[in-house]
Amino acid sequence: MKKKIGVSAKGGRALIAIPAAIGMLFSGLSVVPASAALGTAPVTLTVQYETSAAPEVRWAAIGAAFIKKYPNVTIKYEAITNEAKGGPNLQVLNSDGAPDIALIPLNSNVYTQMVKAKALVSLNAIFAADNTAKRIGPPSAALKQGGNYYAVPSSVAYYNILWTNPLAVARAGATLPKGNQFSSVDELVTFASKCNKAGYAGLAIGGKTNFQASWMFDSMMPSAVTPAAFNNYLNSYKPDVPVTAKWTDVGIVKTFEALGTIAKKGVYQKGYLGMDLDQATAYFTAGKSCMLLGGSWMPGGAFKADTDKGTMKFVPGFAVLPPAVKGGKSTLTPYYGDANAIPIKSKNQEWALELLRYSISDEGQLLGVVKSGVGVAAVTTIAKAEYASSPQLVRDVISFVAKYGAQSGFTSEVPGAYGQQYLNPLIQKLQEGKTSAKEIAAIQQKELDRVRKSGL
Amino acid sequence: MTLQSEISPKSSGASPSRGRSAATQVKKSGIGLNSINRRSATLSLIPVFLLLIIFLVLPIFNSFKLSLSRWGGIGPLEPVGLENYKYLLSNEQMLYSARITFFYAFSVALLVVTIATLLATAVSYNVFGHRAMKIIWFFPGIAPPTAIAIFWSSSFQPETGIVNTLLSKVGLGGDHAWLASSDTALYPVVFVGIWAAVGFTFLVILGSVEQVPVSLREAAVVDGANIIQQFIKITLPLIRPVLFTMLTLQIIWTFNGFTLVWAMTNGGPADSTAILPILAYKEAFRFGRFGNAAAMAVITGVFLMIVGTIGIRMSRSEQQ
Repeated sequence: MKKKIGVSAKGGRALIAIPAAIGMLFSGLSVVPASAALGTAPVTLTVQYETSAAPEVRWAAIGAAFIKKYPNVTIKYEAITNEAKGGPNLQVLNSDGAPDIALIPLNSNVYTQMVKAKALVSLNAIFAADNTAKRIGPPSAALKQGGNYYAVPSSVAYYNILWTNPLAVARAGATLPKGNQFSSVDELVTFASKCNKAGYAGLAIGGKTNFQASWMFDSMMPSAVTPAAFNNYLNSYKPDVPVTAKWTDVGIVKTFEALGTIAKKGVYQKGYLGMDLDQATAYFTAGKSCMLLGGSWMPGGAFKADTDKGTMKFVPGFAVLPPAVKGGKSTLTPYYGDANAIPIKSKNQEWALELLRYSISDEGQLLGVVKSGVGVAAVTTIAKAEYASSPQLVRDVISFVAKYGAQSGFTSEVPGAYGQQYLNPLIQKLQEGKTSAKEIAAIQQKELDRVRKSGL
Repeated sequence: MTLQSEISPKSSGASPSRGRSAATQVKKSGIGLNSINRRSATLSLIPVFLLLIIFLVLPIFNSFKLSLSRWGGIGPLEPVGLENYKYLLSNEQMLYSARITFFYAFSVALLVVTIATLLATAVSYNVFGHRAMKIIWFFPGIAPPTAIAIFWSSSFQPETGIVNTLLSKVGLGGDHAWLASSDTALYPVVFVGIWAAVGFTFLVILGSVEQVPVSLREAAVVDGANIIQQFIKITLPLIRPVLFTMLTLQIIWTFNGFTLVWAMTNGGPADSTAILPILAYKEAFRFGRFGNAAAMAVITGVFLMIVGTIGIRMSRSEQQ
């Protein structure tokens, strides 16, 4: 595809983007990407990516195309682990050895602290010049901090997908719900018990991880509260936002109760709290469970690898979790959080901006995400037809989202110290039956009060 | 009379003169070799002190300073006095973590030293396969802790894990999910901690056991002592200094151990295996509360210094 990036891709948008870019230039808030002014002197950019196949493939594709455009640029890649990206990486990003493009999960302490300390380069120019916010759509609102953009998403990952094993489901005599959406917790429990009777676990999850216990909360909670309340839960940790929805409200308590019931009724595999997501995935691909709680990166990742190895002998389908309360509807949850940003310690900020701009351009997203088959583009301006080479399951997920929409998740959006990292052990306790829904709700409310008073 | 006393400052007093040996000149100048030795010794200690200041005193001072501050990992420190200590000492999770850390460190250390002592004694008595045992027991000690943790956390899985498979073969059931319950998750961790640490301790104690003179044992045999009596009356008293040293070291190592527990349980489920180093890590890197983490480090450090001091004293008194 030989489409010019960003502004020129859509003539109409240029009319809006150019004055905006000029405005930014004079506002002095940001470094404006200006490829012509970057010069041709040799430059080496350092880019962080997570140690797994997909990000490596993505950056290899984007990097190769970028170098082709700018032969004076060399890109050095630095792999960091999943654990490091959300914690110890903070020290790296503030050192003299900071990369030019950092990998920063938006719901991590790293992002919270970097924004607080004004240690990230503003990316307002990219968003203004290339109409990026509009191309991403409504989720771009969550990328803004104090009126500025500091990160661009690498792609969008949909999670809370219940991958199904059609062979196990058939052998268990269980039936997937209409439209693949469980209508109630009871329906899920009945489905799982049929699987259990046939010797399969109902739903495999990596309960040991620091995120899977709270994932389901993300999916079920919006179905139990009003949109206004949901919006307040996402923002009320900021002291300037008044609290209009309390954690002790009935919708939240019902959501926790639903999570407790699912655990109590034996929906998960035995020993799930001692298994991480990799172990749960291996359990599923080996055909031991009817379902797996996972995400849209799996078909091109673990499923493909295990199918190639011959250990996965079925083609999965998928379903969606039930709502917390009857009559509600759960959807898939998008995650834009694995984002890239530029630390102020970067020694090549202008070139880093140019590379980031390219990574979120239609061309960058098409090459790095879609054509590489590693997931779903963060921008909505990629035509559906471009996904022809993506795994069928990924295309099915995209169609599902197009039909039913997707709802952002609490733990993906709020800082981890108040959201995911705080809530996860509490939900594990609930799953063990060692606390009640009301107790967790009260603890979370107390934490909200503390965060509003003392900050993160 | 030694050379040093011959040229000591006491015997000097004459004025310096040319053409004499340096020692004589020094003697005559009234400086004396002892004071030169003292000066050069002092000078030669400067690099050592500098290294100590840079790598020990300053980090300790900084940790203490951090423990009295609020800091998110970036930017200036915000002094908060003793707030972090107050928070920790009233925090339920911190107190729970302290309790399980004590349990974990002391149970692992005591069992490691006990098992290692018994094994070393058995090997020293040339039991069957004693040569192979020396190598086999040391293997876990050289394996990386992460590899050990991954191996054992898979082995403890219900249905698929090798431990459960073996238990089911002997009719004890094959679906125990120890790591998945906050009531039981710590026990496999203790077991693996022992398994990983026994080898090294075994070798050290074996070295000590083999130092026990054979003549003493032979005399005991002549006096009619059986193997158990020989072990209790002869071997154990003679190796006691080494045992105390190993016990102290093992408590300190296990107390500070992070990798094994983290890789096996992530501190869960529900923070039930979050020993102090894990809690400190989470406080610092997941919650951005470096001040709390530093306060934990200070408290732990003080405690371990006390343990170390007691251990050294006991080891010394036994040697004396």
